[in-house]
Amino acid sequence: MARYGMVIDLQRCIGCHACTVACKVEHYTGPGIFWCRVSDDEVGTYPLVSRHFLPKLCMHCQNPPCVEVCPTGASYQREDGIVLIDYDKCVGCGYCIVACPYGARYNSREMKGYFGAELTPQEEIGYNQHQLGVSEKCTFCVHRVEMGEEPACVRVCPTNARIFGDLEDSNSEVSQLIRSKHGFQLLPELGTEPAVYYLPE
Amino acid sequence: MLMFPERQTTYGWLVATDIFLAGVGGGVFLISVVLELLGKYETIAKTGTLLGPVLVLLGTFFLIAELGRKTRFYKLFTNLSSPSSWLSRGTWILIAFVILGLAYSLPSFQLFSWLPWSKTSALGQGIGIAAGLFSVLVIIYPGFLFGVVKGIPFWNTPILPFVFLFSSLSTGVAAIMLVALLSGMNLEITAVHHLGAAGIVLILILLLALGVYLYITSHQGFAAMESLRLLKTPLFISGALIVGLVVPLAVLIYAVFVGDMLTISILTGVGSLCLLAGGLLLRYAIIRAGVYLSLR
Repeated sequence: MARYGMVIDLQRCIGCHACTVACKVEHYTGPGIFWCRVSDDEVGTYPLVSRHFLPKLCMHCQNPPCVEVCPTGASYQREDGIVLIDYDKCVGCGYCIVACPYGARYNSREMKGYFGAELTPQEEIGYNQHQLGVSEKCTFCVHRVEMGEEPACVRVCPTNARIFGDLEDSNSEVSQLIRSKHGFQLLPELGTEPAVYYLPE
Repeated sequence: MLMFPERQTTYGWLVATDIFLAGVGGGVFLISVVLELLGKYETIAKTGTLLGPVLVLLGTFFLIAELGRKTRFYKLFTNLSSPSSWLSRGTWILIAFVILGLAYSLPSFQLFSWLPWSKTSALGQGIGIAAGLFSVLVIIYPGFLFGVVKGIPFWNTPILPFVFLFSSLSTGVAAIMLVALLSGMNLEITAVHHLGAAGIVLILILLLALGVYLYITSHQGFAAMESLRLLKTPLFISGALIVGLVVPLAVLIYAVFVGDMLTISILTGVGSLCLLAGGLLLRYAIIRAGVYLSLR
């Protein structure tokens, strides 16, 4: 069984937000909801200032806190490690949103359009894949992965900063990159074992 | 550290009110059962054993109001495959307590005297003890609900259940005194003295627990320090600490050691209201000061 994972090369990320937009196009997430986003932080004071981009998404943890705290079993983990939400089971209690240390989860309390009060025809169709009032987050583009394609954010990245693959296969590109370029996880001390690794800047 | 830690914005007043009412309800019930076991102030205790489950039940409505899909609330306790969730556990605890608490309390009221057990029967006593144990769980489970959130160091501490315990017991004392005053029950001066003294002790222990809590937090890194910074608001300092704890402490000390009957009634009333308001503000302040560890 594969365990899907992602490597994000921070040296390559230029903060263009193409992944953010590609994710929105792929999943029709509403305004204010970001399954994929890039944080942009300035560190230091003049003249010693640096700017750091950090692409963020669901870490598809091996020990996901969101699944542990979910009271209804709506949040679950597939055998390939992908963490998903069964919208029909979710009560929208928000506990998983609070419990996720990576800020990956959102609640769609309202379905607003991007262009005024009325939904565009495209939004009307796209929003059908969502439910009001439930938790939602990155799916690792499971529908694409199952067809043998890469997640939308990986496909679109103009600098190839994102690489998707099987963490269990030691010969896969992701495994090799993590080994050779000292890939690290976010907040490893929490024991969540994220499937998303970053390569240092 | 490259990124500034973010604050949790999901939970707010609704959850604070829910756990506040659960705390007061659990506290009122526990104190009332203890009073009954001691054979003291039975009319007050009788009301208290009913008020407890009713308040807890009221709290659950705030829990439901928090849900994004309110009509699916029953899924919170019907899914037996996720016992790891403190929200599932909490819901089961709340339900068990409300049922047991009402089963213990109701037979002592005329309307429900047809029930085949009473408070003094063996079955009734058994129910009362079970309900008393569950009231403790009702009081402390929010400490675990927040405590398991490893990403928020301000919450992820074993002292939180104790803070909730002593806060709940002190607000429980306040609620009992308030009910006794409002219902025009013949509140004997000794009852005020005893309950007031219990309130004073509980407030002092709570202040100590809060001191330890904040001291520990100040040693838990940047995100925890950011939580402490967020606590420095009038809501927490003037509201939860001064109005909610220091004022009632002074009022109760005066009422217990100095005042005459009339001033005592007014003072304990005011002190109780302050304590209750403080309990709610304390919970809200703790919830709003939840700050995540910085990702990098």
